[in-house]
Amino acid sequence: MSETKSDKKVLLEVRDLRVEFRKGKRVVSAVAGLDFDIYEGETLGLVGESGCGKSTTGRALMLIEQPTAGTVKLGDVEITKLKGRALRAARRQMQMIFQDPISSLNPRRRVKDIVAEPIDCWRAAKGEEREKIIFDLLTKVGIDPRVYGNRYARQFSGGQCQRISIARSLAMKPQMLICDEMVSALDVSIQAQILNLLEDLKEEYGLTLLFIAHDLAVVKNVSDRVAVMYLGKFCEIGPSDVMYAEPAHPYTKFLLSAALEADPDSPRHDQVLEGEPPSPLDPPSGCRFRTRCPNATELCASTVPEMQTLSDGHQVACHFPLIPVRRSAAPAGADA
Amino acid sequence: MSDPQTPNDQNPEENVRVAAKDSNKVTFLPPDAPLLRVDNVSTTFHTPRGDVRAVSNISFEVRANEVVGIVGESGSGKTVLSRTLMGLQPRHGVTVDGSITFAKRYVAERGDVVDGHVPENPLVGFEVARAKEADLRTVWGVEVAMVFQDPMTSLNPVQRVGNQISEGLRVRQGMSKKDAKRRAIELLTQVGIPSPEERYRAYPNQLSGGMRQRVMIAIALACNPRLLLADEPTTGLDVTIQAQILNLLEDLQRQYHMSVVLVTHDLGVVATRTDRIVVMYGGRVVECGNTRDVFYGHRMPYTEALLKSTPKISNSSHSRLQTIPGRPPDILNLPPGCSFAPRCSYATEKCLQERPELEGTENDGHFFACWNPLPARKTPPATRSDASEIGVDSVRD
Repeated sequence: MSETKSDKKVLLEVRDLRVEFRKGKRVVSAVAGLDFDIYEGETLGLVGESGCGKSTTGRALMLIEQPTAGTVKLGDVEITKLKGRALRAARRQMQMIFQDPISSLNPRRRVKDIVAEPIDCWRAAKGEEREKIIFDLLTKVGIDPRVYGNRYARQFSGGQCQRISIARSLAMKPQMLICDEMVSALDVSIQAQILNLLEDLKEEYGLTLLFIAHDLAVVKNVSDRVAVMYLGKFCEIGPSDVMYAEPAHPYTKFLLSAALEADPDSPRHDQVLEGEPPSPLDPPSGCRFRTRCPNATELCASTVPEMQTLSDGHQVACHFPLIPVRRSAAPAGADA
Repeated sequence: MSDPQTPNDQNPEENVRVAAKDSNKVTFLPPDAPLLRVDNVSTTFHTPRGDVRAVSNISFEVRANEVVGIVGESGSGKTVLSRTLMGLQPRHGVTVDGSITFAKRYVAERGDVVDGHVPENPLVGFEVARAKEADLRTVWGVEVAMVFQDPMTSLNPVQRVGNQISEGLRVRQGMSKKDAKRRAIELLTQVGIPSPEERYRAYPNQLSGGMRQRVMIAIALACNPRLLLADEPTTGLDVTIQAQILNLLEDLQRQYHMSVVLVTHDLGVVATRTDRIVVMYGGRVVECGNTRDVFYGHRMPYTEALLKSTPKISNSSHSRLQTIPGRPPDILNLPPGCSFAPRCSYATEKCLQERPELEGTENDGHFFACWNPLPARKTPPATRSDASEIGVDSVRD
């Protein structure tokens, strides 16, 4: 993959994505206008605290949750316009892996049948060819099909179930995977196995990933770029190494300082983010983070901050970013 | 006793039974005795499928004002151990072997025969492993308190949180309803709950996860315990809330001069907040020692593998993690030798056959159980500088 932006091909284009839920007369805007691109072959990490709308975003991209407004384009296909059969066909290109590996598999079905289901649905292969695809998929995710193929999903541990989920999601050779907290229920030693497996398969299948997680260390380890979300909006998006080294949004900085490193010599920050996120039923005016931000001014209360470009691909939505905005930067980057 | 905070002197009736009840002969512990001494403790569950030893031959100590971390993956026995230490295992179907001695504040009572002179802060040994529930009630809350993992299921959903805090104060310390309420509101303030008077009347479902965990901590602290057992206190909370709760626990530990046992699966939680660490695997202690010795001078391959498979923020993106092949052992069917041997890259024939015992190192209090340990290394001196300020306003113009 090339370093310069112009060489990258956009696979997924998201414009002004909004998801609203109604509760009586009140409206929760879970996703409040997201614009982003995911380039072919990259991994975009999406981090944020619980309730910030990161899972809803993932689901809205698949149209599992109907977006209230906005467009999602995968390649040349505008998914948000599709319905019925055409939508199902488009979903073959995008698959999802869920958080709870055990409940996302039917406990009373055999592993082979679980993995074969997408193939059978689309009548993509039959007989020996079908068997071979299943055999290869299970072998690739580290489940020996000769030993385990006929066992039931309930007989497997969480880590193994997640491997089976991965095999199932790859059955139709998708272009893109949406991984929603896929390792957060696993033990550290198993988590590392699954993350390495995901990297290998990404390489082999040329996958593009949206990796949704709350664990900043996990996200850093797998992502090329990271987006930080707070109350339905992006605070900051940028290349992971750059952003973790020099966060521009105060929220990103607080998140990073609150993350715990498994190292007694890692710096300890006694200044932690106070309070809890406000209710999405009644989000603050202006910048949504202003109620917890130590730098907030009247401007933050009155005006919604626009995304500003700091450096190539690094953007922040803050009136007072922690690193100076490069005024000379080409404004063309502002569309991402 | 002069200490007004000592709860026992307010309600001596509660403390009729002490450890030395039979003879009424009181033997005091030396003043520097460890607060908690766990000696060769095993917990066995009797199930229809046979006996399961969830925790085997655990020994360690917790001294006064010390924070000890117990680390292990799921199924390593850390929760069974913490419940055993509290004396919370059911009477039937479970056998606890070994001894768990807690240094309890002594309260004089009628008929006591005291050997020699009474020390300034008299302590007597209290055996948790074989205590009756009535005796355990004299230490629960007052001497040892516990914070559980899931604050939703451990709080009573149909009682106001204020009541749940003041209950202990009224029952243990014999406070009046009014005093208990005042103290409960004080506790809510101390654990950082905004508008505590209103929250006093809230039900648990009206509070967020972080707030509920703060309430749990307030309940645990109500009677000034000297030992706080926290079983996964921040699992399931967001990172920023986790940092708030861990900082709160640390502040309260200093303020109340408590000892804390922090049980967790997360090495990040124990790295900067404990004095010592106990690493568990397959129901046994595989390594224990000062936090820095365990992190930088670990000898047990499991500790190393666990550290190396933990993703770090300082890693660059797409860095490969070292993995541990296989999965944690089935406690119903432990291998005869070292439990980690089937997953260990250093394992030999001996590891599969014979179980290694804990052996000491040149570092004080550092023990490991391994036939083929990693070479000894010198623990580097502490370099951590406490960054007290994040400096969010540094670039503001």
